[in-house]
Amino acid sequence: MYLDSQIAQLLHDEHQRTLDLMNRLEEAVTGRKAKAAPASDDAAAKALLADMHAELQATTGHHFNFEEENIFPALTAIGDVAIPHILRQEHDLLRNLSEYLLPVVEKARADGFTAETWKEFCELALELVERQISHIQKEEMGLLPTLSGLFEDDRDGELVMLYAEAS
Amino acid sequence: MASGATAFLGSASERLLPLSLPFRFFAAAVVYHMAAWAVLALSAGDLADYTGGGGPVLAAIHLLTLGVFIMTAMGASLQLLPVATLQGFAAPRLIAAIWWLFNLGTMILALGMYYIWHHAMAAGGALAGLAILLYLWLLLGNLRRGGALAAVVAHGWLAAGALLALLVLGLALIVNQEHAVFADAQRGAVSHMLLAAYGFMGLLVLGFSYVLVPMFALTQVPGPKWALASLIAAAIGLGLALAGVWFGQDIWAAVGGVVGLGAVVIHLSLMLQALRKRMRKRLGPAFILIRLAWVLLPLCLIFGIAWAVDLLGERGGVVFTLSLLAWLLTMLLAILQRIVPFLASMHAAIAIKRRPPTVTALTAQTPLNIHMYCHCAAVLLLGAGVVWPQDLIVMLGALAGFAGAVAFAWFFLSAVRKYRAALATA
Repeated sequence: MYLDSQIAQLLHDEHQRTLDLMNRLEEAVTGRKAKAAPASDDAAAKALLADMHAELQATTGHHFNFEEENIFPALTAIGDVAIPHILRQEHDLLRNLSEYLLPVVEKARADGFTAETWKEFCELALELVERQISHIQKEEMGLLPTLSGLFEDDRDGELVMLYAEAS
Repeated sequence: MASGATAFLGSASERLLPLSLPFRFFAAAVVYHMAAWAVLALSAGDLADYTGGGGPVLAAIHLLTLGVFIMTAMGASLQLLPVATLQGFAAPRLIAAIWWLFNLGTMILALGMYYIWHHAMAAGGALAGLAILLYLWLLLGNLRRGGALAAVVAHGWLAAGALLALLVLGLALIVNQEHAVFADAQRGAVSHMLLAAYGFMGLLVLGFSYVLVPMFALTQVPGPKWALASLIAAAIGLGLALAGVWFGQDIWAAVGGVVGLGAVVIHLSLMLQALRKRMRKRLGPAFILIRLAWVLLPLCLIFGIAWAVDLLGERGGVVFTLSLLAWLLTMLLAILQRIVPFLASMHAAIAIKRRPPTVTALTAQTPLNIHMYCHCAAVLLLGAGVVWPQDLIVMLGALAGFAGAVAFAWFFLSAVRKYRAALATA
């Protein structure tokens, strides 16, 4: 995908990475394979849980905080109130959902899944997948294209540095 | 992404009509969908050899075209166009009045056609026509103020022109039954059908596909240059086909079909290219129907060309018409099953701040699966029943279609119930 702004391209790449994880997660918790909990030594499940743990613990939070502190105020300053408002509301929802899911993932990493915890995990994971995808959909169609021309080149570069430093 | 897509989703919640407005159009479409299949089942013996004129087959066709196609197009465009053009409609009472008028008109017209009552056809046509004129007034007012999505707006303009022309022709065809207007009513009827299917509905479907398909698949909106090239080819193709039909030059009609096929090739290439670049891996069951519609679209044009040059025999007209209706019905039901829960979830997100229901939570998948199998069976059986021809197969196809329509109604009611339950417990 081609975007004029470096920071838009960076956020897009982050979306792509999150979507890859969401696609893997959706694959794991739907269909025939998902009828039974994965064995505790299942390498693919372990890798997925590790990636989810990282995602829930820090990565998404960093992405959300960065947008709220650096991107949304710039949009609001040019009179675009609707997009930041909707996206901020969705960030809160996703943070809330991550708080529910994080202990479930931590427990699964430590003790594996029982039939009951697997069911709970699947339900929460599917909700996360859907809300993340719907959120990224809005950012890809409603936010990133507006970033082209929003920042001067110098500021655009600074934002990329800022994002990298805080990671 | 194309610049026009910028504010599509971002501005959507600001420009949402009250849910009851688009949903009343969709609810009516769901009911007419069942009615159309039921009437077709009752008149299964008349379908294979139908060559035009009043009766149950004409009533079934109009229950589908007016009751399902235009009803859905009205509901969807009144909601989606303000989001695409970044302009508001702000006329909820007028929209509600249009719904009443159009419903009443469609019912009376369909009854008139079923029993071949000329006065009922005239009254129903006049009421539906008035509703269409009011809808056009709203539509043109919105398109006139320009918009962010150039390709969608351009498709909207041509679709609006086609709607006006098909309305004039449709009313003239009703008048023609008692007072001769056309030298050849059959050619007037075919022109009316082409304007309705390819002109109004077809162009709206192609135009909104440039926004809806990328939105559902999470991919880039195709650039406006090729989308406009497809539109220009479609307009030239339709113009040639209409001139060919009108002046009795079948070869012009066939050439028009070939040019239309070129437009479809561009359109489908853009859609497939967008899907190849998608970020969303799982597209969901609606895309099975969307892909089927993408197969039926060129197929109906090929049948149309073959009919124009007399390669399909005496049932060519019915085969062409069925494929045309199958394309539009398949595409509209696929879109409808995505936008009904999508709109409900957007409204729920406004009303419920803490964990509003997701699109999946509002979607009953079992009835949609039943609908998909029944719909595909209906299309195949009707096609086989007409080509063979066997009335029993046509009847089985219509019954499969009716069962699918009932399942679709179950899905719709379930979405409404789940939405209301979520609001009640919030």
